[in-house]
Amino acid sequence: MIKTFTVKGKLIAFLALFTLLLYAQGSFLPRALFLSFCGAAAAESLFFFLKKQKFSFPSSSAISALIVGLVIAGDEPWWVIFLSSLAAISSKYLIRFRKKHIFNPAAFGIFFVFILFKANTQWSGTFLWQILVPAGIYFAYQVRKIGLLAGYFAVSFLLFGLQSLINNSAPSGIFGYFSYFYIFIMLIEPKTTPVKNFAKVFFGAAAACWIFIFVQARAGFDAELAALLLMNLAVPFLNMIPERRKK
Amino acid sequence: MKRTLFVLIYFCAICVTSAYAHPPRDIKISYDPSTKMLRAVIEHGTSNPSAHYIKKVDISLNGKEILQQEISRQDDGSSQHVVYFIPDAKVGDEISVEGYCSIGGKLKKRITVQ
Repeated sequence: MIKTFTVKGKLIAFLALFTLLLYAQGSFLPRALFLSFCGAAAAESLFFFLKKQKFSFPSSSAISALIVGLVIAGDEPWWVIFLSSLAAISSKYLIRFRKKHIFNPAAFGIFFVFILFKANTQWSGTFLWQILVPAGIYFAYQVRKIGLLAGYFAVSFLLFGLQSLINNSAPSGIFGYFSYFYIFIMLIEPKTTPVKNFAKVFFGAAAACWIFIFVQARAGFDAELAALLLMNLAVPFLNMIPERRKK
Repeated sequence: MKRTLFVLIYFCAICVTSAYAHPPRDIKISYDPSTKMLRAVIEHGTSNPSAHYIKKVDISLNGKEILQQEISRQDDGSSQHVVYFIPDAKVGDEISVEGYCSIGGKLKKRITVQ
C-alpha cells in the first residue's frame, strides 16, 4: 500500500501532479499512462501471486508505471507500451543479485521495447526544469544521492562543455544535454544505485561518461537509458569497494 | 559539505534558462498558403551537430504521412530548419511536423492552415 508520507508516497504524488500538469498543457497522452499501469499491474499481480498467493500493487510499481508512461512515446502501439511496463516490473523479479533487483525497472522496460521493436521515447516534461530541479534535489537529498548528482553534473559539464567550446556552439549548449526528468527522477533511484559515498559519485560520473561516449559514437539508441542500465550492472561491484573510514 | 553540494547543484541547474534535452524542445511551424511552402524550425540543442542531431522529420497532412526526410547532421548547435512544398494543403487542413533525435526522443507539433 502507498504510505503518503514516505519518500515513495511523495514521489508518486509528485509524478501524478506532474502528469496532470502535462495533460493540462496538452503535451501528454493519458493513453500511455493507462497502458503502462495495465502492464505493471499485470506483471505485479502475476509475480506477487506466485510469490505470496495474493494480489497486490506496491508503490514502487506505481512509480515505474508513471515513469514508463511519461518517457515512452504515447503514440507507440498499445501492446508496446503495455509490454514495456510488463518488462519493467518483470525485471524486478527475474533479474536479481543477492535478493535485490539490478536494473532500474522503468529504464529496463523502455530499453527492452526499443531493442525489440525500435520503440521511441518522448520524455514528456523533461524540459520543465523549474519543477524538476527543486523537486529532484529534494528527493535526491531524501534518498541520499546528492553525491551521485554531483558526479554526474561535474563530468557532464567537463565533457559536453569542452566539446561545445571546441565546436563553437552556444554556451547554453553546455546545459543542453541535461534531461532533467532522467537526472532528477530516474538516475537517483535508490535501490539500483550504490549505497557508499564514493561509489555514488563514481556512478554519476561514469553514467555521464557513458552518455558522452554513446553520443559521440552516434549510437542509435537512447544514450541515457543505456548508460543508466550499464551502471546498474556495476552497482553490486561498486558496493563491494571498501570505504575509507574517517579518523 | 552536503549543503554546499545542494546549493551548487541547484545553482548549476537553475541558471539554465533555455534548457533542452534529447527530444526536440519545440517545433515552430508556419505555412504560407500563397506559396504552399511549409517551414519548420526544430529546436534541439547539441554540442556536436554531426553526432547528435535531428535524424528524421515526418510531415503529415490531416493525420496521413505525406513526407519523410532522413538527415545526417544538424544545421547548428541549436536547431534544424526544414522547408517543404505542400501543394495539397487547404484552409482548415491540419499539418503536423514530427522531429526525431538521433539518440532518442521525438516531438510532434501541429498547425491548422488558415
